Amino acid sequence: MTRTIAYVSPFVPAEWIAAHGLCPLRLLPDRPPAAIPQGACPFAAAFAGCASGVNGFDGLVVAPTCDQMRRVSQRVAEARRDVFVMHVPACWQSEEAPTAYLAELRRLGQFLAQLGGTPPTDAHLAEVMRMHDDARAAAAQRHSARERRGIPVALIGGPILRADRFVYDTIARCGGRVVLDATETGSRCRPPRFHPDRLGDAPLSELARAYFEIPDVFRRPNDPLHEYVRREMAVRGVRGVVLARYVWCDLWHAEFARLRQWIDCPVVEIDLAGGDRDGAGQRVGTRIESLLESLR
Amino acid sequence: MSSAPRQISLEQWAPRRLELLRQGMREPNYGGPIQRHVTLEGDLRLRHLRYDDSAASLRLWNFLLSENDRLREARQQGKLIVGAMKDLGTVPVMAYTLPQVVAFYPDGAWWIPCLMECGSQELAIADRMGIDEAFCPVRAMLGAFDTLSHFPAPHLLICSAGATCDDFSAIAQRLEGMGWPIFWWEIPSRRAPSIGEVSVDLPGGFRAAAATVVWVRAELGRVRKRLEQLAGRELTDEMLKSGIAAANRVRRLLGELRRLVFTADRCPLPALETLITEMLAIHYCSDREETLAVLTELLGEVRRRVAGGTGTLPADAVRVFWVNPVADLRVMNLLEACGGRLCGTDFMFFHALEIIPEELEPMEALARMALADPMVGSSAERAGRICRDAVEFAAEAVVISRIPGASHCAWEGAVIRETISARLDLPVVEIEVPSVSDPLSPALQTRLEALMEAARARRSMRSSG
Repeated sequence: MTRTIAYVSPFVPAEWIAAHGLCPLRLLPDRPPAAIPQGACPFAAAFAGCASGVNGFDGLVVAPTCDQMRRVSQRVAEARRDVFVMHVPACWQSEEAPTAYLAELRRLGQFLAQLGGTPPTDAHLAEVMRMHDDARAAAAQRHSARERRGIPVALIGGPILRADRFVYDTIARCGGRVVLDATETGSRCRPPRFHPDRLGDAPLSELARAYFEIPDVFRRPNDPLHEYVRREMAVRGVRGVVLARYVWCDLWHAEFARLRQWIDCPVVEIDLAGGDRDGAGQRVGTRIESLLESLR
Repeated sequence: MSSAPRQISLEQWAPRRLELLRQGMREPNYGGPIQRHVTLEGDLRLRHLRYDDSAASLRLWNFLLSENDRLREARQQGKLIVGAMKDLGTVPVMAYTLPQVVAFYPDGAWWIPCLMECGSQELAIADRMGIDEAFCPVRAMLGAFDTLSHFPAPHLLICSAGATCDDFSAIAQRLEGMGWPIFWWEIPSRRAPSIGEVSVDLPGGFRAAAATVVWVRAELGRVRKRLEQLAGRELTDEMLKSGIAAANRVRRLLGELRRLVFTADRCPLPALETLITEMLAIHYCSDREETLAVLTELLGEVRRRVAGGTGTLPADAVRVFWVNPVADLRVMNLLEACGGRLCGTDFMFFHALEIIPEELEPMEALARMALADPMVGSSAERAGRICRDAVEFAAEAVVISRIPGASHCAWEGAVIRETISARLDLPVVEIEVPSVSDPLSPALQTRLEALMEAARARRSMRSSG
């Protein structure tokens, strides 16, 4: 039976896991426990909760890109042996950075082999990469072919817990349509298409190149994030922006102020708490409603 | 004739300083009454602190509080000012090897709200920029760069990123967004070697995968090139070796000072002065040579007190290990008012206190030093080091001081507490210290006093049985 490897973070290439003959499973925690430490990010707390028990997967890969997730990941890794924590470089402009990320992927490969995976040949890896690439492209096309009713809105931020997916429903209910999902589970964090030529020559390097280019808030400097958002907002005709972050998420909290400086359409910020804690659902709903009402 | 050491108020410093001058004290050019820092710079908090009354401590305080003057003078003299950010101890070792370069930590702005008792505009500026109270007090750094009324504009900012706390990283990025270019360098997470990987010993007892040392070495190589570009000259290995040796002179003095302070039967130097002294190790308060002089004088005073069995605190003060720096300096006084004394510290930079290996090639030594940062590895590793030091210094209790808004504090406290409880069975309390703790003082006092009582009860039980 194929072993399942759960992973958290868009910087863990599912292709790499699949190419080892293992089943990649993107872990999306549901909600944090009722009591979480003061100052703790609800996403990190939810991840800590779901990663700490025996959870129906054979291994876990985490690529933390913030301090809270880093600390929680370390704690989880110290408690169970089947966890791999990889470091994704924040400083992307040096020559060493993509090399370091590639080295982390190779190290991940060794971990996968220890869990029963088979190191892939270049040809097999390239084939798996093409399949995933084509699947992503097909999904993107299906999404853009969907009904186009609703005010085009961008949703920008980090990861979204399952318990907070109501944000999407709320936007739709209020007459909006998310044309740009720049959250960690949205299109922002999908790698660009692979170059066909490089797939043949050095597929792992190409995999690393593509995933390393994912724009994110933790990067230093994180100008590529702003360039991505600016470009995609223009291409998709965004008329309003919802900035979504978790309470105690410093990285996105600080970035929203900078985004507001140049975004020239109405913006609303919502802070999520992991479900409807402390009336978050109503609060979020009211703010989204007011944004979309202003755009009608 | 020297009198018994005591702790005095700011008002008492004026006559005490005159007394010291009559006894032959000679002050450096930055010396003078501490009171002047209140009137000239608005450092209002100084009015509410209690100070060690020695000449050495007066020199220490004046050295600390005159840093901004020193930086401004250095800039006027044509020196190149480097703002090192976040790494707390590595980049200044490199920067100070270049004779025309002075390095400082803009991170130190986190104490502006304390010193000015939130009466300055830095926090309001940060608020307007969207960096509100949810962030650590280091957000005052944004205001400090906006006004440039504390430190002068640096010629170069060098900031580590990667395995760093989120709030500082976010605030530094915001600073770049304000128009301050930053040279970023990566500090990856310190991790154990995977199977088949070579392991490297780091200063302070940690170990790391060799690949991460190689990575950091390459990153520090980029920092080196950037410093060379700034200075317009080569930064040779010989210069780095000399810089490391100089850093180690500071670290050795500080190591001896800490050892004496933490192990003496009667505490020879109060907690507040100990905290400030440790801070000198990070960047030498913008004058490396003077740091040596200040530490030498302090060490002399501490040695005299240890030899004479004197100190400012009762002989039976509870021996407390303190984790994390306090946003409000006054809490160090509070610890002692509650019956405690410092016996061990982890102010988030004990890698800056370790001796940098001089037998290694200098860039290798610096890379290993950078990776020995307690904040770069896991909380469990940090807790292990705390336990080791707590045993060495015979600590009887531990205080974990949370920094409001700091991303690491949400998770590390529980890990440190659990580890100490399991390994050492010492009483531990976690407190949160804002920049001005006065409204919380009764609650903080209650918690600290309870900790002291628990420690004393254990002490009694041990001595009776």
